[in-house]
Amino acid sequence: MQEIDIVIIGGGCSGMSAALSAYKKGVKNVLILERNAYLGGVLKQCIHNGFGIHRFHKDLTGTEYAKKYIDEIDDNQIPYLLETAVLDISKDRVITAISPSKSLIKIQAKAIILAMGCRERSRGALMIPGTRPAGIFSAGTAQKYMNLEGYMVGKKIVILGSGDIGLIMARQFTLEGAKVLAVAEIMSYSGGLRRNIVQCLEDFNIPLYFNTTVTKIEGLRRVSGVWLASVDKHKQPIPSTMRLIECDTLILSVGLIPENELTISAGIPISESTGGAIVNDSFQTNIPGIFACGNALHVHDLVDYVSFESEAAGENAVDYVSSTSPISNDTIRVTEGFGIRGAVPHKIQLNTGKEKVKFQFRPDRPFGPSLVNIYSENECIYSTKKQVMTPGEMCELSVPIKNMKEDIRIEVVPT
Amino acid sequence: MKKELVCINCPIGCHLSVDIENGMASNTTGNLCYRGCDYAKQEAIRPMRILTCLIPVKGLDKPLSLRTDGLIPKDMIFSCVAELKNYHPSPPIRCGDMIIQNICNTGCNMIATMDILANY
Repeated sequence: MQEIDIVIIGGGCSGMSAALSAYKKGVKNVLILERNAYLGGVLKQCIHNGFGIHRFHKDLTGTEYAKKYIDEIDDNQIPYLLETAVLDISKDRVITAISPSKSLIKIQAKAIILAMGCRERSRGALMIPGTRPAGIFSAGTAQKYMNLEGYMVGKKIVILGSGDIGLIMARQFTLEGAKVLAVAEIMSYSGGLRRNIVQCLEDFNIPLYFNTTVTKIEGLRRVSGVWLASVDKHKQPIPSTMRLIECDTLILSVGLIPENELTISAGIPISESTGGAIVNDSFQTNIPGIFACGNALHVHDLVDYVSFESEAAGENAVDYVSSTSPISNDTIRVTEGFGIRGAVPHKIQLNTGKEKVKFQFRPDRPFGPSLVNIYSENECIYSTKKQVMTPGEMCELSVPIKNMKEDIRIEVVPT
Repeated sequence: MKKELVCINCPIGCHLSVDIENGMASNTTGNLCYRGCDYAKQEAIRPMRILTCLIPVKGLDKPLSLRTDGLIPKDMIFSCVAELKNYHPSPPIRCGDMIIQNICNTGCNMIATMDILANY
């Protein structure tokens, strides 16, 4: 069986960032396994700009951002296998994968980095009634068809959900000559960035309806229309507000789910809040030597933060492989108090010599001026002011470890 | 004349107000930082955008992605998109190659944002 120091599962931004940082920190025996026929993941279909402002201090397109990493992988001759799907990871870090060229592969890894990214919520997850015609796409699928394959998905389009991918696609459909008739958002606020609301919708006079959802899809062979309805405060459609919009395409931009089938089958516990693996402050899962990062760990807003996090995970994997990682028998848990969801890490190791831990989380609803407090047991050990917080924007806090004694709770206190 | 805008630079989304006189913006209010002021001055007079889009490639089904190498006026977006449809470059194309010079006299060039090699 082939033996590799660090195997990275996934060749998107996260996997490439982790591989490069591990390689630069001195572990040369690394291998990236990528299911697709190319490196770069979803970045390859992101032709819009807004990438790299934090990581490279430049406003790049997704394709340009991916190219920077792919070129660096090639320049350093970091090995990767394409069209290689990982089927299984065992507790003792044996990876089983399959590819058309190499058939079945078994690899014993000293460390594994889970960087599988995330996938889109589908129509099935929403349970929208109606027929099952052609013309219903998730926003990312539509993006792939247009940008990578060169197919236009429709002419008269309704978008459900106001996440960033849906907003970006609304603009692109318009530039390609389609008419975007409406964007419907069930919440009373958008999960997308303000910049995208202005530059993708308002620039092109595309209406955005809040507290509105799709209640039914019409059409036999092809979508012929969708029913929109306003929702009440319990998110239930109000029948008297139902209206039919004639269209040929419905785009779903209704959230992303970390991809973790491999994680689950390896027996690694998953956080209900993030949908990703439960990790400590070194991004290590419950299985020693298996790390998780990027959108497989929790869904990020900006690729720049995926790079930073995955670079850290890559370095931690090097520490593990070279037996220099901090060993601590004193681990405390992190729990989510009022107003907080998606907190990472889930556990913190004490007495490792590390000074600070970086928390990432989202508010579970929009908040005006408020405090974010961190408690150890019931003592507040850290507090910071926020002008505004929205679920669409991940928050990051760097907190000294030295005051942490017991389990940690993060909480929002509106002021 | 007063113009109202919402700042896009960060999630706070300050509600900005600017005075416009003789095509000049001044007296930005409502901003919590300098970025709101800079944004309002440009956005109130002539909004500027990066344009990214696709064009067909000769002999291939798959499109080429392009961007402007600087900001163009928002009101020029559709003229630029129309102009782009006249171009069908041939591979090989390298990321960063200039495909169209000074598109619609905006002073910006359209550059490729991906590689399309001959054997693609």
